[in-house]
Amino acid sequence: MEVDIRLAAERLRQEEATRGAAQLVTPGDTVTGDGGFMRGHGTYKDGENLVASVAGFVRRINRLISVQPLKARYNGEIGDVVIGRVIEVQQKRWKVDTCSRLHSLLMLSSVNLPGGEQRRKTQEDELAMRSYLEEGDLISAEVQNIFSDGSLSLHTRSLKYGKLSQGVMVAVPSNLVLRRKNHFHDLPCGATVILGNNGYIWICATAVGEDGGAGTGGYVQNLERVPLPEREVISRLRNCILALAGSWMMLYDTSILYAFEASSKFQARDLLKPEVMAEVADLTRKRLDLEAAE
Amino acid sequence: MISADMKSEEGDLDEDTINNFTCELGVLSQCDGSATLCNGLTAVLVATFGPVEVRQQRELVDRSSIEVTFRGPHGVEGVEDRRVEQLVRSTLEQCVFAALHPRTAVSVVLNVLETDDLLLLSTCVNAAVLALLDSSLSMKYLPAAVTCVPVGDRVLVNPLPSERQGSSGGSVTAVYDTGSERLVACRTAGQLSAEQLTSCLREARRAAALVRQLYRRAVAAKFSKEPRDPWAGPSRAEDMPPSWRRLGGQQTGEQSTS
Repeated sequence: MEVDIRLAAERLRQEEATRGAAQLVTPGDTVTGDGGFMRGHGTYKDGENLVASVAGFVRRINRLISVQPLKARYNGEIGDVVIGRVIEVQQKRWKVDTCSRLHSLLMLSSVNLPGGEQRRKTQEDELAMRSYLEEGDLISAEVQNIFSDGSLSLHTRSLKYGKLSQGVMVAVPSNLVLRRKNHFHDLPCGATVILGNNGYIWICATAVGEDGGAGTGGYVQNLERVPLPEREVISRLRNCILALAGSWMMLYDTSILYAFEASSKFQARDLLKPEVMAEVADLTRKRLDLEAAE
Repeated sequence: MISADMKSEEGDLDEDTINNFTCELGVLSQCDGSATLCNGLTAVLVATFGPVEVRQQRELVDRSSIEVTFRGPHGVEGVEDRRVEQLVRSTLEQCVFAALHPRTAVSVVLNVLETDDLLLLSTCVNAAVLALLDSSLSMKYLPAAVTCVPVGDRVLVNPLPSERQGSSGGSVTAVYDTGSERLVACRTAGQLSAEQLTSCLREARRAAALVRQLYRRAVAAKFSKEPRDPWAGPSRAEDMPPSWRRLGGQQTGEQSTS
């Protein structure tokens, strides 16, 4: 098995991209002394001056000035699809980690019962919580509500949400996942991808036939061994997603698919090398720009 | 990786001034922000998480609780480690916008890779600031720490052990707000006369401006890796959400300040 070790000094160095007129600021830099601007995210007012509070580029939209950093913890909106990991089982609710500032909560009243029946949850259901979701389980859910302290309330009330099994989760910065109407994609290569708005992405093999896996709310788990070709597809997809995220490209079904096709000339394990990742991202970007130009 | 040879940049500082600084942002993948900083013979790796969920005992209702953990290079943790934690925490509490994230915690973990005791404190503070820059936490200003040693009638800034021959053992570690040039924190060790203290603080203030340049270059290097603006959105019309298309193309637009 070959191992790739590199010195930090010899790492691939990207040439400084020309940023044009965009202005890079660090905390404490004065963005503008003109008092006529509105203060956006990433800035604060110090007397008459607007001062940056994060490191990033200054964005001006009419009279609103904000400084946007490269990444931030996930800020939930109602209706977002998120993927989370159960941290704790508490009384009548689960605490779920969704890479936001506070843990999200999945209330017992917000989950479906096996078979899809709708009824009030009893004492027995409370005691049986651990049999459904334990610490360490991955779930897909939707944001139902936001509490006053900013933490999210999740629900898995549809059959397409629920416990996830037999797949790979990839974590990317949450602002790289494009907000779309549909976050569940069945790619033609044979894998299903769930793009969580919080930056957690789930890749698994597409369940063949209906009523299997994805459509049962997670109560029926398919624990059969995933065959090797599908495992290779999943690994390749995961590496492609990391390649796109490493070059700060937006992630949506088309870009992931193009990256997958562009990576076919490399072996899946070579996709972890920085120069190969940069090349795959570059090819994907060119193809997307070409289509946009048409 | 960014290294700064301070001697070649500022001609009017003394020859035996600031050693090579080498730093890198984003070295660890699982945490919100991370940085390595090497200053002379001292190297520190810092990881930061935050704002994250906080334990009940440490919870503050109106602000974020900043937790600093210091892991020395060897031995069991002792009182000296707590002193380093206390200085870093008090510096960060002043410069971080903790009131923006109440009932959360910002956790900063300092790991010492190599040390020559004298520069440890200033390297820890600078590395913590770099890691917080990497994690994009809101800060009011960037503090910069410098260690000065008076030798005879000169003041050495961040000296190597070989350069410190002949000093009386006193040293000053000063943290300055690089924007307003005000003193944020100061810790002395050994014996110093009043004149030595004031001249050390003066030299530290000048040197802090160079540390600020290092921060800017590290951030610029990090941002230069992105060849495309991630907030520009998708280029194909079909990939845009329907609400964007109604506005006639890209929503936010690239109206950057000129």
